[in-house]
Amino acid sequence: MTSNDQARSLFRVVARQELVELWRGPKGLTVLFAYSGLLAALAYMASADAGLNLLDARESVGIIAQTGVALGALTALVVSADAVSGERERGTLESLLVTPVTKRELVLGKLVASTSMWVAALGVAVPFVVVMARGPGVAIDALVVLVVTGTLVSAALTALGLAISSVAMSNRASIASAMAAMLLLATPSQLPSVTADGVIGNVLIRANPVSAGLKLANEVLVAQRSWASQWTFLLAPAVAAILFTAVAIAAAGRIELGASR
Amino acid sequence: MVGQSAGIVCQGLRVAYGGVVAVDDVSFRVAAGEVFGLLGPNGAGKTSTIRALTTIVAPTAGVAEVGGIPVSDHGRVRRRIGVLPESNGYPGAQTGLGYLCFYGQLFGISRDEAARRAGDLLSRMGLGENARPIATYSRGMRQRLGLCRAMINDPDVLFLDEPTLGLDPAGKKDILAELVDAAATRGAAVLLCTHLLDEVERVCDRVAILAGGVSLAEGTVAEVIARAGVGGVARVTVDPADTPAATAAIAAELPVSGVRYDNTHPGRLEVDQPTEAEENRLLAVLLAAGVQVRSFELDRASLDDAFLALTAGLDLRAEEAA
Amino acid sequence: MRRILVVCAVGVASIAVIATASQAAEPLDAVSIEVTPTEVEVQLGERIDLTVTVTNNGEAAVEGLIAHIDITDLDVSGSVDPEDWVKTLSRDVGTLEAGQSATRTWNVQPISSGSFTVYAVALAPEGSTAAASNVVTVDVAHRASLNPQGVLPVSIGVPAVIGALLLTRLRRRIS
Repeated sequence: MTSNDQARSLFRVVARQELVELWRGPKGLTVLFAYSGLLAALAYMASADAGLNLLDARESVGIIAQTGVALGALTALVVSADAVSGERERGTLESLLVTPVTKRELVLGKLVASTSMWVAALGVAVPFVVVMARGPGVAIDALVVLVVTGTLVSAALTALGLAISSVAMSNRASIASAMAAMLLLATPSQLPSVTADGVIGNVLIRANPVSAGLKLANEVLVAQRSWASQWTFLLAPAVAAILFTAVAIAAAGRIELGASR
Repeated sequence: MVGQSAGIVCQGLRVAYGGVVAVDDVSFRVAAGEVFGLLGPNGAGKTSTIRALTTIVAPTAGVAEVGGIPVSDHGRVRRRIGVLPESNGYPGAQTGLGYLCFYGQLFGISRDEAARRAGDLLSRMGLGENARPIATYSRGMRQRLGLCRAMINDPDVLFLDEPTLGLDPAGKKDILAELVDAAATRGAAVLLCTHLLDEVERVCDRVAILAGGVSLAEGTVAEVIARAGVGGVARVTVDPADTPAATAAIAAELPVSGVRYDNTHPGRLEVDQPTEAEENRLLAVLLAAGVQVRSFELDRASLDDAFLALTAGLDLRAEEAA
Repeated sequence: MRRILVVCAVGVASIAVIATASQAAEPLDAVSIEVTPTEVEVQLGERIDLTVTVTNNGEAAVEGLIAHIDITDLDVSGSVDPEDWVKTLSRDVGTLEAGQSATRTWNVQPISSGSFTVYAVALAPEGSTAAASNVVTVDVAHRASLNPQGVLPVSIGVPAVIGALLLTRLRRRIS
């Protein structure tokens, strides 16, 4: 085996191990269960309101698609924010650092495993969206929103969580910082329409991967605008996914054991 | 089998974290097939020394080589070492077999070969029931699993940091036996970090004592004891009536540093720090003087005594707090 | 000559007053307004069409008519804001010639359950007394559905499956 082959295979070995730890242990299923419960409750309430015509049926699909994207990305963020700092606290990091696997390969493997959390969340969200989108006939649009927007937003946040986890010295600090980052990114989507429609609001929303993704979902599913006219909202999530992944890989070099001597 | 270049070379090693010097000018060598004990209280710099040699931290100064390879060449060094660190966690949901297979593959071993080695190691360590998740393992089982992990790649050099901490006597015995076997049978160089001195006396060929990041003594156990200037006690019990004759004979024939009398036990004499030659001659001298010897005991100096003597006067509590 | 001029002036003034008075009183008195159907039973959230017919029963045209509907809850069993039920309350009818009718339809969606009263008025731009319609009773029943939009099986099923998997995993770990 050449050294390149070995490097590639070490990253895969790490990814496989992380997937086993995430899904054979209770962590992955616990997070997924919480996600499915929240989505189920929201879907039921939104459907009830749509049934009473308090909500337009498209609005109810829009709500579920946006929640599926936001919460799904959050699940991946929570897993990635624990990835390195959690190893440090559980005492498993040192054993890994004395093996031939490099820090970068370690982080790449963990990135793959954390991304699987989004894939599972997507699988959970699809049946809700399909059932609710039957009425207004927006199933295809809703699924495309989930898959494309959700994957880009999730990729960005997963990488961000991993970068934070690599440099944070405690798991608590890592998860708190990741949640704070998520809140900051989600805030522009909650701006009142007067502000959101202004120049500054527009920039804040478009430049932010989370709010841009949620806005796209709303424009396509609820406001019935075409993909061709709204595709620019995908730019921020795409750029963020690439940029944050690069940051996460660079931050891998700063992984340290901690203060113990 | 391990090659000629295997082992550890540590020359003037210095490790500093920011402005704090954890290891200062430490030098020692460990040859292939040797078990070397690195002793010291908490905060002495043992773990920092191990971390520098296992490429976790970069030495600030000095020469450090493992298996003939400078520690700056991380990849090559890591391929040849096995490490059981002090902080040792495990993924609870995985089985021991799966865990070892993972680590084996990290060393470039194929999955099948890793599974075969893992099975052998687990059986040897009494962890043959490898279908149980690690979360169900006792502390002793986890330490043995950790040792399996350290040996999965058949390393030339083994680093073990407090491997018997928290184990019962049987567990300690098993772990130490494995270390000795790794050195004797496979020719690995073994660096054992511990503050349990009785273990060191049992298994280590040579030792170094660290305190405050500095090496206080290095050599065989006997050499370190001698370096510390501590000696044992020879206790002789003679017929009380023969006490004056015994004292005179000892004074005339043996240049011992002093003879003490145990007033609570008439006829008991204690000779401090006799040399080996003095020990050998003491009984002969007494018998030649016609003294009736009732009992003769040699209480040799221990590594514990040497350690206490060497570290006396050092503010170890301040070191532990640092 | 002077006497003839005064009589003519009085006559013109009288005619003007009479004409003005006739114009002020006649259109409103002559306009009738009706709402159909008169009784409606509907499920909460369903939409209903209410048709308002404005008729000019007079002999002269009436200009600038506006039809306006209102919804109220006489039993005070719950408050109702008419704008929650229908977007536009007032509609322009325009000019009705003598004998002409015009209809306007409101598509109304009740958002609360209970018994409600709906009526319409016809207004002239000058703001004089409006002509009021008959009263329409709208009974709105609450629709309880346990499976809105068919989402219940998914809302229960998906978390249940994941929960069962999790439970199995935890049990295996404990045993």
